Amino acid sequence: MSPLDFVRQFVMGISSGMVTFLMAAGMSLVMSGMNIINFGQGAFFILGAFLCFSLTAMMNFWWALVLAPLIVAVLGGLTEFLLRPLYGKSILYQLLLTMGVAFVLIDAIRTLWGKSIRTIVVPDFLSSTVLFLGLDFPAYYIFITIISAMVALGLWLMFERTRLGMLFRAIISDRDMVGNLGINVALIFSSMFMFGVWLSGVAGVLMAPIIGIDSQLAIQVLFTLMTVLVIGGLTSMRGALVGSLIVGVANALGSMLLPWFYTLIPAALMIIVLLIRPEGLFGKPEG
Amino acid sequence: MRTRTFTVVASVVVVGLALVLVGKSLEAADAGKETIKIGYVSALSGPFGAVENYLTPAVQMVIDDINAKGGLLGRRVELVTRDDQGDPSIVRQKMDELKAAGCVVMVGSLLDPCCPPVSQWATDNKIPAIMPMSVNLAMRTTGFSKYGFITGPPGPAMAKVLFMNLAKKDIKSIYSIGADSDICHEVFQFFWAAEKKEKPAVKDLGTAMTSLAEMEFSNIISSALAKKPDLILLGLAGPPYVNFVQQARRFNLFQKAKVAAGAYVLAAELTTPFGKTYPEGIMSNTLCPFYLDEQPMKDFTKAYLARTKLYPADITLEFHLCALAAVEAIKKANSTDADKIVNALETMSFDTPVGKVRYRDFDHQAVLPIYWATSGYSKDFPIAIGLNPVKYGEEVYPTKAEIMALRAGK
Repeated sequence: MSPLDFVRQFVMGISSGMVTFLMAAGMSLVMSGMNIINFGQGAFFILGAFLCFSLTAMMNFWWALVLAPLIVAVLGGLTEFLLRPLYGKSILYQLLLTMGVAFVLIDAIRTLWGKSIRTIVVPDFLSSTVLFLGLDFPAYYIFITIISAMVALGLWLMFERTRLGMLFRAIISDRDMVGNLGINVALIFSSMFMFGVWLSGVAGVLMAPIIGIDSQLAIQVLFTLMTVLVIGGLTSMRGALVGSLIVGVANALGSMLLPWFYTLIPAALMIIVLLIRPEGLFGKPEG
Repeated sequence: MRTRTFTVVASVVVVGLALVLVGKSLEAADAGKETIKIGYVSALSGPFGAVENYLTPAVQMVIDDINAKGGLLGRRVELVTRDDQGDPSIVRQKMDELKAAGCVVMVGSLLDPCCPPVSQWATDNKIPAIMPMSVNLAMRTTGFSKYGFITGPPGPAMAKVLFMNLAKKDIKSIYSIGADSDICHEVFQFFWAAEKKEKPAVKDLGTAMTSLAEMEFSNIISSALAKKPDLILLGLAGPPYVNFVQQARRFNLFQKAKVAAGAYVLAAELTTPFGKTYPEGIMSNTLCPFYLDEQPMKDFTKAYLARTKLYPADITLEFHLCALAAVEAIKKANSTDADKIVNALETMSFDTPVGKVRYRDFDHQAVLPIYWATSGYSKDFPIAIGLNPVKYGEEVYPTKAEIMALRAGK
């Protein structure tokens, strides 16, 4: 194995980690701001992919990239509306409700699109490859890395430079104080939840051309998300990014160095982090 | 007065409900007396739920056909279904439910890990179970069950066809990508045993094992291509295989290396999602070449298309044959007695879309033809098919002597 092989795999890992980050960021945002574990995040992701399938057939992939996440976000808003009676109650109730929403969504997807797997083809100019370190690197993977990075940058800018981001940070820090200042916390909650779900929708559209679109993926994706968030910290956006990149790179290097066992690596990392720092690499310790 | 009226109305309602319930239970009891129940257990949901459209209709059409012809032994046949979600830990419970429902023979399950519990359950309960597939050779040897029957070919047979055909190609190095499953391990194990014996110069560049429901293959693909193999040998099936193809195409993998598989990748459930964009040149075994110009297969394909608007897959044929075998065995036994059904299964041959099929009495293995083909397109079909199929028969299956030797621990 040459150093080039390592660099190549490292870059692959970054690429796959960035897409995972989109979903994980959405989940982390909702967890940190609203103290809700949205178990429906995987379902929203796959809904985004199915909507991409239909919208691409009706219009094109670019319209799907714009419209599908918006439709998913609207459904996210409806979900948040259902959650409102449970605010302030046990986190278990909210978790169960989001699980219920996930199962309803999955069934709705099966009813609308059927059980069969769907595929879509990437836009023509993204179907080529770029020579990178002796390997044909897919242009589409470069594209999704760039889009994910732009979203990450946009998230950072929103958090740091906009009033909405300031309100998000304030709610994450002290929800009650924000309410006492006369800010419409319910509206901020809705925005936060819809934004978190929108991120999942974007991830679904970006992944749609490189997976078999199958409603069962909604559940599988959750395992990956929880692994990433446990490693990075459940309530930290920075942790979501770092966790996603760690899992992406670990998978990439592991598939090269330990091809028989690499699927165990993310779970092993999760266990190590839980033992050493249970709140995650960037999470706040309890108490 | 009001109380009296209420009492009368309430009494009428209660009596009416009771009559309806009694009527329904009598009807059910009547139905139970009249029908012969065949149990069907499979992964109708879970990671492989997406292929259910290729399974249940294949079984149901046998039941519908036989009922249209007057049923079995003067009785209607009823299919009782349970979903094991592809989870081996709940298969036995589902089969207990089917037994409690009165099923006299079982068909299923889909996934290899579910087959040992199915076979063990059949032995424990003395009820025949006809399994669509179980690649693991041990199911015919040390795990042999008097009441278990296996329809799909064993791993060594598929590996033999794979090896025989790849040996003709100029291949100097192979990288393997497989799912961590019995089917993959069996086929890889027997294939590499033959390679190392007959073609020791072929380099094994490594093997990447993924989870059974893997979504992300780009890391493995880039790692594999970096080694520049002549051939990528696949041990993937189901939805993960679709994910693999989607990602492999991005890397131009199918232009850079030959690709071959031991099973299933030419089957309709995996080619249909791609329509006209399935990669050409993929070599594999296949069991259900629906494009064969033979009348039984054409009739089967036509019937399946009419029912489902889908072309039949390899798993479709396997499940269809299980249901056919169950029905034919009861007919031949002229009884629903388990031992008579077993005896019938061991001694009969029956007509199928791939010709006459029988279950060998010494290992309860059905002898299905295995076809070797290469993916491509024909103007007659809207999805990829296996071009230039070559047919193999019992000559590639383990012999009786080999099975008995393994069973005796030699």
